Amino acid sequence: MEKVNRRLSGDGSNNRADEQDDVAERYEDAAGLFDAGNPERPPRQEIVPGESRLRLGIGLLAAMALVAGLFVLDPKPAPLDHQVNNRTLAGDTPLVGEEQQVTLKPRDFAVEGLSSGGQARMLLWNLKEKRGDVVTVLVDGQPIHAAFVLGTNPVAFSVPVPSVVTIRGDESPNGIVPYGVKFPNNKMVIYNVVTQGSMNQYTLVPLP
Amino acid sequence: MGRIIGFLVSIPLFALYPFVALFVLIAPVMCLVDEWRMISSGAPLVIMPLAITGLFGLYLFMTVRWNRMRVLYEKVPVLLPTLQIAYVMLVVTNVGEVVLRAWADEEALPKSVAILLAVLLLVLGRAYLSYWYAKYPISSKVRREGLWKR
Repeated sequence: MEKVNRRLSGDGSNNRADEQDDVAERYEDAAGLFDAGNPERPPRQEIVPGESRLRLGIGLLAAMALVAGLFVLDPKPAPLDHQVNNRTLAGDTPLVGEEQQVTLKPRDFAVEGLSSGGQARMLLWNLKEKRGDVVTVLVDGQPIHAAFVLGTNPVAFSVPVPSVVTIRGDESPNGIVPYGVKFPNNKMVIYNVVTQGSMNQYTLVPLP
Repeated sequence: MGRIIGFLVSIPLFALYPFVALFVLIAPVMCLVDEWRMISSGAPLVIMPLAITGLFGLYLFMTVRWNRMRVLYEKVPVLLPTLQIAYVMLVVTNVGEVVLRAWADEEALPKSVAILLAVLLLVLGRAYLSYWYAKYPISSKVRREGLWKR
């Protein structure tokens, strides 16, 4: 009887009753998500709207990235004694340590199978962490840029095909520069070494 | 017993959280810079493996899914949308990097196609986020009155 009276008496109490109903409904909605094993826990409410779908989105994206990532995992770089290979990624090579002896022999190479006509990209990087190795790249005897310090991150040069590319060692703290060359066009990777004042030649041969 | 094990397991996962969150927030910017460097210099860079991004995503998924770690988001709700946006951007930029490096390192596809794909991925990611927050607005005002009303 008292309840009925209160309900009829005024707007304020009426609103409060409505609010309580709302809250009760919300709790019922959340009942499905209620953590049954933990009775002290208040019922779950969404932190942001559409939380479960947002979560699902992140999970699906992550699973796809993981699966795709396993397919594009970096191949293991070839060891330094494989002077020529075609599976190493530029810049992702084992480095020659400070005290380690360089077993590579300076050699000249013929690079075959490049698409004929126009330019090919050539990537060049240092196999030694130590700074201060200065080299110059020459095409058919003409330097194509100023001498530069070769670092472990690859730098790209555009060289004409066919041509003869020469790499000249200008300066080096210990007189020897082990470096990597990659021609993305035919995926050929060469580990080579140039001493201060000497040169390596690469004869670029286009496809017939 | 189960609770004790759960508590013990959660300790290293909680300890990991600030690093993963910070990384997921910063990495998209680094990936974008790397993409730009690859396009401008033509030389490939050693990039973060996509599988690692996937693992970070699974970790984030787990933190939202598992009640014990979900407490984080109950205390600081803004973390959830922030990390969602950052993670979508991370995946998109990281895949873009993989595509660009496929050109820069192996010439598996022409440069123009690689750049187009990377840009398209970015646009797709942003479009997904736009769609998401139009459908599930965070602002209670927008939720009440609709997106296009003042």
